[in-house]
Amino acid sequence: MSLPDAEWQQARQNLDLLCTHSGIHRQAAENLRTESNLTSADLQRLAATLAVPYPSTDSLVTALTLLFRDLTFHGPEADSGGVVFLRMVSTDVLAKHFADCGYFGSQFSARRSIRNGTRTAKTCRLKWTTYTLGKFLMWATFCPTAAANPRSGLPASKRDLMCVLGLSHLDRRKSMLIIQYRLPGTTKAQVPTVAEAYSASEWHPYFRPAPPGRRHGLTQPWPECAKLGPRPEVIHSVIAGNCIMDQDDCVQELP
Amino acid sequence: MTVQILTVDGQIDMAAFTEMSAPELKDWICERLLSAAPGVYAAAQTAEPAHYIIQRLYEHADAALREDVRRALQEILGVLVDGNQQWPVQAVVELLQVLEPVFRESDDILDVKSAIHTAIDGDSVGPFKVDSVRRASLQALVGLRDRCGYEFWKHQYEELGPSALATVFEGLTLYSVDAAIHWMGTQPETAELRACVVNYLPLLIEDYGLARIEALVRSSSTLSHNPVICSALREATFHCVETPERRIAVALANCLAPT
Repeated sequence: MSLPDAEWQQARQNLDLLCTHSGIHRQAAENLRTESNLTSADLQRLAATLAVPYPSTDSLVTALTLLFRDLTFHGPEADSGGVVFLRMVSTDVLAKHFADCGYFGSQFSARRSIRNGTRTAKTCRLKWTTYTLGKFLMWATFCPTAAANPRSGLPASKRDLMCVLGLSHLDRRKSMLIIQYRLPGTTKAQVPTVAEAYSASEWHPYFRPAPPGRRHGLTQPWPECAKLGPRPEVIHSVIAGNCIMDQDDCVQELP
Repeated sequence: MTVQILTVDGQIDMAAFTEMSAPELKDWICERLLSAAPGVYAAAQTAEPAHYIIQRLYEHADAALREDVRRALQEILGVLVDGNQQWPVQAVVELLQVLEPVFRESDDILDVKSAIHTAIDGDSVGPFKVDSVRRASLQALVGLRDRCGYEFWKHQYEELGPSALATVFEGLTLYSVDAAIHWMGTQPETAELRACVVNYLPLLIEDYGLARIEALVRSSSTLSHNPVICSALREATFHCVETPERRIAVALANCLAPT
């Protein structure tokens, strides 16, 4: 990457500025330094974004967020062919998504229907055949040593699952859904990068870039259960309910 | 958009909000909702929808902050309904989508419903005349359990078409389950109708009992002989294990089968 010295200096200053803003931004600055899965063109754009002065840290964060929205799905393809994926999402969030999409007249009914439907995966598959299961992109885990069983090696309790997967603390008292599915042939899993982690208005606190050379990301467990260790992590574009596996435990609600 | 409200351990930084004045909170909410505007957001639609974080803040807020959030949202809605500000369509949709979780249990629910009706019924040509905003407005009314009449919903469906089918059907059930099922029987056979049947009839049976729903379905000659509905219900029963829902679906499939 070719940037004049003055601009490198500015980029370093901006990263230092980010570090002083908040804990999440400090971690983000560290992640930007260690991210190895962006293309050189993407890194060039990142460097160019960092190489200009900003009137405040807020405007720097905004500039980075907008850049990352342009760089999503640029990570390499993940090494996860033919596996069953697992996604954990709060029932409320999925209900909200179903209502936002117009599949239901209200979040209230969507939530009731989800709770009724989750008694069997087949019911969900039938009811949600054409329904998208996410809004923009979906994060998922899988088990590299037991391709057909993504729950292999995962803890059983809701809290430990959320913890290992590095999900939002804000959902920890909510009912959560576990959904197991295969990707359709046209959809590929990709290694997540800082672009996916920091393209939302709220930057995700539990994200670390994939270690160099690894063909999938790793979750960042909550600090209080770090001993449980990370799990493989990928992102993919939004899929529909017809991808859900048929076995009964492939959709499960954890109250 | 620029104020990060999550702490490094993923908690909401409540201190940041308790320090905000009411106008600052309103500005923050506006900023969040407007971040959904094209050009800011739509270029790469990857982020969590703008209103999610407002809903999460509300869920975790204390009573005083909740009141401030409600007041701010009401003020924003009022200004938009009055036409004193023009927001991009997507931002208005985001605003409408946060109304159900915030106001559903609140004392301000009547004022909010009234404002939405003013927007829908008004003559202005602002964003509320755009289909996506109109659909979100109707969803907000349904989410707030507003009991609009049969003609209201019929008119809305005529204007918006099948994309509003679930909303109109649920809205009608709030007015009268008899009217809702009768109306369903008048609809052409579409994928939306199939989805509506599979999703809503089990809920209606839970609410009103199988005997009543069965009688209503039987009373509609169109519905009881509608092959899409019969097929949809049979699909829902296919391979299901024995659950209350399956028993309901089987019962419905039986009652819908041509006699």
